[in-house]
Amino acid sequence: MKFVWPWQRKKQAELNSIEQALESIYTPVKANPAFNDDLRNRLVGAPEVIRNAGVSTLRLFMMIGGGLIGIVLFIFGIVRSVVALITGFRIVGDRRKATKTKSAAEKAQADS
Amino acid sequence: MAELSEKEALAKASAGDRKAFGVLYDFYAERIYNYIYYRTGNTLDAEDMTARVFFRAMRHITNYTDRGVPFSAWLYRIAHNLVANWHRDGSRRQEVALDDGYRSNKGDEHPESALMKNEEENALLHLIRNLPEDRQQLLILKFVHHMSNAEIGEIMDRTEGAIKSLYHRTLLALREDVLADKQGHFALEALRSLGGDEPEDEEE
Repeated sequence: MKFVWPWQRKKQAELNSIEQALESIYTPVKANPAFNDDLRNRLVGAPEVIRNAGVSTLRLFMMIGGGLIGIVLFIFGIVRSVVALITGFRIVGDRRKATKTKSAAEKAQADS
Repeated sequence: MAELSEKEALAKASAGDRKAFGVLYDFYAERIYNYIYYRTGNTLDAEDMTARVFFRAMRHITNYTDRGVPFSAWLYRIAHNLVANWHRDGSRRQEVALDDGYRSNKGDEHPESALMKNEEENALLHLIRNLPEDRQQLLILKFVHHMSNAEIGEIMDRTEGAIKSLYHRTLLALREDVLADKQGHFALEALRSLGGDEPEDEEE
């Protein structure tokens, strides 16, 4: 048994009172059984995705590589279509020019 | 699966056995829930964070290696970090009152005395909430889970002696707070009703 000096008794009694109050306050609580069951089902019956959430390094590199290739192909596609568009405009312009030249030549020939 | 010991369940769960993790869940769900409930003060957040603790534990259990630190300590640390983040996210949460929903009924008390007792307990809880986090954690582990100083030390990563000392300092701090409590009535009523004398100014 712990010895308590007479002048410390009052303080010790107060500390004991606080301990008793703490014991009274901190009573174990029960979680809602429905919550417990639901969480257990979610954990134990969880899909593989959750358990294997960590991605291996190889998979990570493959994902990044695939993404990069996709981006390069996408940019290549855009450049190709722009080039095709420009080429198309040029062809149309050349044809118009050729038509104009032809009609001017025909007109000159007719005048002469 | 129910006859698995904690160690066996832990070994199997670490190897990816989900049912074994369920056994660990059964071992610790109530304890973790209680810990978070008394740190947050309400059932909704306690349920939300308990779920997050176990999902986080399940995701990382394959990385768990037994280095002398018990699995319970690992779980409590996850819970402690989540609660600390929760408190850091908003100081508004400091004043949340404890729900009575699932607290056990302490007997056939007269409604009036039960109400007074409840008020006193809430006043003391208010004082406890103002204590530093490690002291609150210590009180919960000691009084709700009835852990020894050595077990608490493993969870809080301190020696048994340090826990003993921290506990004593916590009691002294609470005593000071109770006596200095401006609401007054708690300091007098609580100590009187629990057998203490009327508080006076006195030496440490």
